[in-house]
Amino acid sequence: MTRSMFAAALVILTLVAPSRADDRADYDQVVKPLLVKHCVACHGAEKPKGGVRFDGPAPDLTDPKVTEKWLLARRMLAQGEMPPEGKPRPTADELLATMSWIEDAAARAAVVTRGGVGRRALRRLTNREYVATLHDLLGLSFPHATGDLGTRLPSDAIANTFSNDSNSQVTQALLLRRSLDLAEDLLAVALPAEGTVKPFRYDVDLRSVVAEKLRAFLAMPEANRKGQRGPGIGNVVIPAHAKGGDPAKLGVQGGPNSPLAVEHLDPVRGLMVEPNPILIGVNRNAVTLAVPFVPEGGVLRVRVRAAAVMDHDDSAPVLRLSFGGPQGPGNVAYPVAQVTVTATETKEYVLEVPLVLAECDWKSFRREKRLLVQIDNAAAPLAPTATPEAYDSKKRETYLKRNRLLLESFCLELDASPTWPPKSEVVLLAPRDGEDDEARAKRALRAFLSRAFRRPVADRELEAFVKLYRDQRAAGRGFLDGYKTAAAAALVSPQVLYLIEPRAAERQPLTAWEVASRLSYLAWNTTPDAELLARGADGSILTDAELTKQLRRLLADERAFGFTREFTRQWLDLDVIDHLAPPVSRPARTIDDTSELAWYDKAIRRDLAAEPAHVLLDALRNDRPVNSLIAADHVVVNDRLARYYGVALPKGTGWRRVAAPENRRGGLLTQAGCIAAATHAQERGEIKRGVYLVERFLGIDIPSPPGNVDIKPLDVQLAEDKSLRALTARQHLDKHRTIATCAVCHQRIDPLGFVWDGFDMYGQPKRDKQGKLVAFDSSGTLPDKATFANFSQFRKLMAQGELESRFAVAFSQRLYTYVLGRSLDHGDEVHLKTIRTAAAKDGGGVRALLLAMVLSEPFRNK
Amino acid sequence: MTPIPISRRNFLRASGVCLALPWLETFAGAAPASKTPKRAVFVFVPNGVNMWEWHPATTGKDYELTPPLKNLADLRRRFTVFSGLQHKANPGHGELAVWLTANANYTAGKGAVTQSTISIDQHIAETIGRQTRWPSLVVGATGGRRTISFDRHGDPVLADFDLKNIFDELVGADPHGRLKHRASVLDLVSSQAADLRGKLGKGDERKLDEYLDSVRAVEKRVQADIAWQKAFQSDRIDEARLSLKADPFRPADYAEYIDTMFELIYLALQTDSTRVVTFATTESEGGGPIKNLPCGHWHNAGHNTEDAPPERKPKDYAILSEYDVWWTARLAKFLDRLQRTTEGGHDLLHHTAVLYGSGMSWPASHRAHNLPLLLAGGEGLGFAQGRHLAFNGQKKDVPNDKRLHLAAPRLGTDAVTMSDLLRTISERMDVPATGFGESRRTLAELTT
Repeated sequence: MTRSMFAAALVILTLVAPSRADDRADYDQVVKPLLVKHCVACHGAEKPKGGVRFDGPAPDLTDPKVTEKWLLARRMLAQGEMPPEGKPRPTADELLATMSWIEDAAARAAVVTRGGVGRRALRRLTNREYVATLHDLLGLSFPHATGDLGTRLPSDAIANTFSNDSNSQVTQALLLRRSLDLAEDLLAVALPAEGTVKPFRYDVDLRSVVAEKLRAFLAMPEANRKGQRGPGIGNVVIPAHAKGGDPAKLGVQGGPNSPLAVEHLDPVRGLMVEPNPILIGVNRNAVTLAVPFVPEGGVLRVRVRAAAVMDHDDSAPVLRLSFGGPQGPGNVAYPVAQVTVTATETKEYVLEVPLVLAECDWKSFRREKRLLVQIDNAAAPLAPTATPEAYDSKKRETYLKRNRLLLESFCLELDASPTWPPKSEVVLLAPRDGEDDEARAKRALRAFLSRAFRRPVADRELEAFVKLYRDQRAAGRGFLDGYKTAAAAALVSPQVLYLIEPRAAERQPLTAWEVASRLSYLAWNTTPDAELLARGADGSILTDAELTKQLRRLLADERAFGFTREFTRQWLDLDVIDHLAPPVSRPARTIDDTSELAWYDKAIRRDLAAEPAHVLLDALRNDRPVNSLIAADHVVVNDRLARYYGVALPKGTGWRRVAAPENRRGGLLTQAGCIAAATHAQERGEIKRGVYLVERFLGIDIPSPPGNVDIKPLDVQLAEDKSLRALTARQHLDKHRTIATCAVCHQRIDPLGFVWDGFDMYGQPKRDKQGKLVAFDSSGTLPDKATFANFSQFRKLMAQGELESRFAVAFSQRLYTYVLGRSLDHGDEVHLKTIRTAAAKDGGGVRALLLAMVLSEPFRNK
Repeated sequence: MTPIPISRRNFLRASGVCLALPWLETFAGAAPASKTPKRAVFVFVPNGVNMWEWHPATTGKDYELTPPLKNLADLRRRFTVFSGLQHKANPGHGELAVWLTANANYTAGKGAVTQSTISIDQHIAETIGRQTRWPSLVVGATGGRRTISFDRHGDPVLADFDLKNIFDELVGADPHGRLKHRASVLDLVSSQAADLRGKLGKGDERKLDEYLDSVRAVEKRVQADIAWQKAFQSDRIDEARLSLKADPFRPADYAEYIDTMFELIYLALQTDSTRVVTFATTESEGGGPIKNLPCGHWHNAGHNTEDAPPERKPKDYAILSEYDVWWTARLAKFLDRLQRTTEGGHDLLHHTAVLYGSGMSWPASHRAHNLPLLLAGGEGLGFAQGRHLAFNGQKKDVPNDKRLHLAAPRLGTDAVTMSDLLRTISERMDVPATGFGESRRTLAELTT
């Protein structure tokens, strides 16, 4: 069987891990000889150097001090600090064997400290999960709001593992403080205090404004109009809807391609707006409404009747809402919401923005005593425009062909306190007849806490929160304030912030509530919805059938994208794509390079970072084979990526599956985003690429390079020593094999560095300056010594063996880590085998694999 | 059986071995008496100066004080004037974005701000900021995006212009009594966590302890803030003495506004609320506050001089000189305040480095070479003050017909730049800044 062959092949490099009973025997066979040969001379009984001795029996690594000593020893061996200079060095294989033993023993000891095999410590919600939980618990949903509230919390990224890895999570005071701030801010949106929200409404009918201005303009004699491309906006005052309210002022601003040019005005349909790349400066094409005061709180709602004018084969317009500042140079707009407009017939789009959450320069707005609301078109080009033959720089904007946003009318409004029953009944129940304040608070808190804690609240817990409410009232605060304080306390209590699973010394099954919570956070990154809570209440979620049904339901929903997004983002290190230094792609010379290219660059990076998540979601929903993630004849792309890869896509903006071009049949392995993330914008990126493949696709952990050797990245070496350019990349890398401490890791990394030799650092096929494809050599060797002559052979080797292929084994380990919310230990190997067998029986698809993981023992027990 | 690959980090943490202390929030309570804190204040005045008058003619200790510097005569031994320093970029009226960032890619496009880099004050605050209540204080009369501070992502750190607001934050004003409510909330959640402790497994207790530690740290902070408030209620700061209502757009209030802002900065330093301050006094170009003294409009006067020799445009140069003298008078008041406050065996100025200057030199043509700069105080940080230092062979400009003074000097790769000065300040604040901007070395001349 492939598995045992693979294991056998690894014997040369690693120690075959012994069962616990053979631990000591292994120490005597493998580690002791090395110690006796290289260490005991100085670290023995007589005057041990540094007070450290290595001449004892097999150590017990459950003692933290002992572990510390051995881990330090392991690190010093890996970095070549020990044995010291001048003494004979152990061979790479001896080193590896000893290091593996130490790692293994420490891992086993760690498991004992943790409470046993397969158990995990308390898992805290990640930032994304917490923000989503807050929204769902408070019944708030702002689908079009841009701006990620998770940035208000300190980053929860952990090196080398997922942010939901309970064994590595650390909670700091800053997180608690910011979580409380965020909870209070969101509570202020869900339950605004009386009197803080002043309602207002303005209705703007752009059609009538356009009709009037155009009529006046065309009525002017030709001579008077000379040079003007269209009418000015003049002074258009929009009266307030409510009597006595101050009027607002309508404005239309524009750059060279002003929205008020005659070709953009249609008296029947409205005003058409060209896209804007930038948000700073006056040269934006936008419709603005100057509201003569600055609202203090509440949710601003903007209803826009708009349509897409799709004259060209380019991206669909994006309706964007921003809050601007004072006019003049340096005029900055802060985007707060946006939605893509694809329909060509006019429809209503509703954008809602809670003002307290919008990140703007509110101080300057208040100083100006007005709020400038702007609507513009934020579409980014699908691809930079190529230079046409007869390029005339004076007429350049006529070459930039983009699709315009048609605006018919819009309405800006802010509601006062919500009416009953409002959305926020989710947070606070309506009062009943004859019920006093405290009874109402108690009833409402019971409902709210039971949802927040993801299980019925205990009487003792409820009493503590009611007491807080009572104390607030006694201190003179109103009903709403008192209730909100108790609710805020609930939102940062440990029962919400952590997945609390009370357990005993013995292993036991999870309760139905706990299973519902785990499933919800896995598939949707948020608190269980009403149906999951109901299945938790009646206990049915403990059955295989119901658990399966619920998983399928969750995966079919659009919220499942959050799961694949979080998983792929961390697994494949996709965040780094946003920070790579040079522009991601620079094809033929473009017009208006600076803004158009920068704008396109941002958009394409965003799409590249999202691509793996879409592929995985597609694989999950359609239960495609696990190996299809790296060996596929299809790609899942949107319109911009289709242009990037050169595939034809039927019209539309959504992500769809199309046949892959010849050089992109490697699934994730040939996605430009993964290649770019792996290469880190380095010209000689072979080592980075090798490390990426070895760690993320083969699941082998590689330690950082030693700190005491003067190591320069390959690019820096090339810049400093010109003679290195004469060497081929392979010759350059060969140096690693000559030094034992380097070879330990590099014999596994370097041979994989050329797998992507046919792609440049942006994940595009490598071309020379004239644009012709460059010859490449992507041969290499896998760590288990299997060789391949080109990329498709590599792909075949990785995918060989169905669910026991190299990729499937590594992928299932990664996925299981994420599913369980903890790092794996040696006891999980047996479960993974069962999972893979069950999935294979069930068709061998990705969804079958995930289902088997959810049905597995570690997921349902604590 | 092949071992499951275990990440090297995981077993370190799970086994309870702490190889590095987690970051813990600290805040100003009783500062350890042994170490006097080091401080840096950056004061930016736009639109250039009257370049015929600003720079002294001779270098060294005994240079003659020029008219604008005469306001600082009492502090002569405590500041250094620089000649010959510049940035690579020539940003014109975009000078605010370049002064402390040394962003070489910056162009003088009106309005559009290109991607910036971190400014030296934020670089310093990233390291030492956690020792005080506020990592840094960023203020300005125009405020908002008219700032000289940029964070690590290149985004401007919005400057506060509201005197009353800054004062409220300084004294910890809490009009809605939020602090007390927060204290009750924290009390409740920590008792919830305590209740849970018995029910969870052994390994979980460590996690819950982390949570409890966090709650206690936030509680301590709340108590410290409440105590801070109480301390200020006992008339330590006389609110009436500060003109918090001064309006920087009213010429009659100009001096009051700037003086009050300097006073608030002084208070922030004295209470150790922060150790890094930037003050972008006002925006560049013609609009905004503090541009219209009775003698004339600042920006217009600058352009009217046409950078001609002084005898050709006496009236316009006289206006510029008045502005220069007005600004150095404001600075002198601030430095004097610092000097009169004792600290340790010296005064507050001894441990505070104050950089004052402009991002432009010749105002009409928006030149940015030979920038007008001076560094005051900070002897406790290692600065040797009291001289005029000229770099890159810069000599005082002499009136001439060929506009020679406008030619930016050709500088080789070993030229000294303003980045070197910024880096030196940072390193004296114990924050390494190797390679900041185009810095090639630190200014040993300043520290001998």
